[in-house]
Amino acid sequence: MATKLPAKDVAIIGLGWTGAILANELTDQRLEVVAIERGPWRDTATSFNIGYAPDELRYFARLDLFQQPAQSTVTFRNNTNQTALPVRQWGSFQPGNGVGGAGVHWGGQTWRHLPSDFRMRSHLTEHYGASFIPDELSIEDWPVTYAELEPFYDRFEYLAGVSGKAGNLNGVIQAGGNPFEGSRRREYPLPPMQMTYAPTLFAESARSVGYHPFMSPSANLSAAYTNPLGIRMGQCSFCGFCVRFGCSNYSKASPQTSVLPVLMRKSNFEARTECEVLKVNLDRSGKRATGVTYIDSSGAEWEQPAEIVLVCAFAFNNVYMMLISGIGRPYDPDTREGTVGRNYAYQTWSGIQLFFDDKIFNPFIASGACGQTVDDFNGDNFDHRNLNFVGGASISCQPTNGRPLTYLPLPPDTPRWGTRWKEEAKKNYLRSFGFTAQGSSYATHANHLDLDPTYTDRLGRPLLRMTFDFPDNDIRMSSYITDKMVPIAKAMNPRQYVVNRRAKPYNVVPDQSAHNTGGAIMGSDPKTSAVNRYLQSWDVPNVFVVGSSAFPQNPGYNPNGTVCALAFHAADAIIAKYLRSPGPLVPT
Amino acid sequence: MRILTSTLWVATIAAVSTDAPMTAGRAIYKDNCAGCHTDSGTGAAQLVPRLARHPAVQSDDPTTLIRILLFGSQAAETSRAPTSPAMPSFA
Repeated sequence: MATKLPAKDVAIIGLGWTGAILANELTDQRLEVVAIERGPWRDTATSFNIGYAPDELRYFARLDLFQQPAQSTVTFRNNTNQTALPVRQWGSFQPGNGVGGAGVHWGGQTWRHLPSDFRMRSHLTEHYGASFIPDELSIEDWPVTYAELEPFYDRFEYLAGVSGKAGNLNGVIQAGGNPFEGSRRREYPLPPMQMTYAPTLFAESARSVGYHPFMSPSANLSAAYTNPLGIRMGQCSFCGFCVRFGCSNYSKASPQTSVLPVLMRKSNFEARTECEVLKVNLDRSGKRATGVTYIDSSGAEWEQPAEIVLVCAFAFNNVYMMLISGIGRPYDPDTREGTVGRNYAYQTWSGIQLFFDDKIFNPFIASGACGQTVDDFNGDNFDHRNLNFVGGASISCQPTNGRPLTYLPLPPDTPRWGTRWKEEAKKNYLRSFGFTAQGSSYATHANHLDLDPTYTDRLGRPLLRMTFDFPDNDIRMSSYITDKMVPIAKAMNPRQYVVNRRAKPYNVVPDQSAHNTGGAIMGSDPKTSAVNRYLQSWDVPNVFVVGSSAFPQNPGYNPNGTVCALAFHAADAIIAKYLRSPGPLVPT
Repeated sequence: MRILTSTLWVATIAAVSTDAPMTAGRAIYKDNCAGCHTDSGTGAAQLVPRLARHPAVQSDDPTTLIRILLFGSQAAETSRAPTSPAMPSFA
């Protein structure tokens, strides 16, 4: 039996980027806010102690900072004809856990989606006709435009101290930036990072074959910076321990470096860690949330009443929270009705690894998002008229590390051990690098999330079930983009280059991307979306669901820039509209 | 103790020493300290203290340095300077 606690104005589930941003905005409005976080408290000096933070075995191989499958996991299947089985060891993706969430162990790539990404169905219909969109895809327009989100992208970039070069300032194309990006109001807060050799060579080669490379925007700081909250951050030291690691020296933006020092000082904010929310509680009508019930680390249950509940967990955990709480109607792939679980999407990667004899790349000098990108083949930046697919990919060279245990690029015919393996390891460690295509993942009618009928977590709750395979469209897209990468590789004259293409079926085991999206998508129609343009539940209007769970489909970029822009957008709507007149912000 | 003070002294003097404790101190400094305090001991303004010519480093009495290494250190927080950056314990 849960013990009832004194009521708060706002209860937030999860204290990662979105939870921290919303908590900071809403406490500025004098609201009483509590964030309930499943994982432990983490701060830079004690949790990412520079003495052991670069422990590759603990953090990279054994995934110390992540959600532990024994605590909760998902089941997986490729299609509805299969029986889903539990993921007992993360592979393809790794959900975050603890204060800071995935914002602790991300690489720092901070993208804005293309303007056309936000109105994908309308854009494609206008350019190519409605019949051009493959039947398997359930592409939707976003209910917000790029122009509407631009001020919120700007707020996040200045909060995080993003290093980059604008490609389009107030409609004027800028040399050195991404010529395809939407118009931005001002430059990035910091100049681009210093380039290491591999991305420099990649960019020269891409330019030589007629593409338009530019410096990738990075939340690894190119210089010391004080953000608008007055929090100081440092310059990245290129240690090469970003992805799956916490940053030891305050130079990779995270909730810890960018929000928490201000938020934690506030007397109207409280963070409760190692407290796992079991469900959002609804009143008898099912139309209003009364708060949340959570379990603490001793197993005691607590009921936290609140006027507003913000679901700010990892993407598919947001969907899980809606399903387990009975918020919204679960999606049924047979009837294509229902909204929660709809349009789960992912990312479609391919890559080329190059091996040289005459070039030394020093891969250990690296940062999570330091590199160069080509956007000529992303989204609808290129004419699809004579092609048999929609979508595209960003093509990037962003070497993130040369770590001793897991970084060892070897040509495919190398033995796994022995004298020749040693020779090849010595020969190639310094002389290789890769570049990748981060392809869009467009939603289908079949791919979705729901509750598993068989497997349960340690508390007896059904696990989330993931049903996903690559759409044929996305495989055709990835193949085309990969072909477009080959000339870049050839122009560098490597000893050898190895093309890694993406094929069906999707496999949940090999590491691919933690860019899981959808399942609680935002939209204009309550029949086909779980939340409205402010991320407010259509069904329970005092619940907002914030994260990449809201993406109707996934463009060819890392999601976090857009995720945090959406968090600021939601905060703005709650403050300007909802607090004045609590209720649905978009009429149904 | 000699290595400890040597470790921090390399931040204050550019001279390359062949003295064994100084050589060891230089390596320890590089591995454990330079990531934040930088190779030359300049630190980072308003975030990481400058060690070069820092009184605690130059003092004949190493007590302060030993305390900081064992227990870590955290800057005070104020409403104008909320960052409160910290150094972990190296114990």
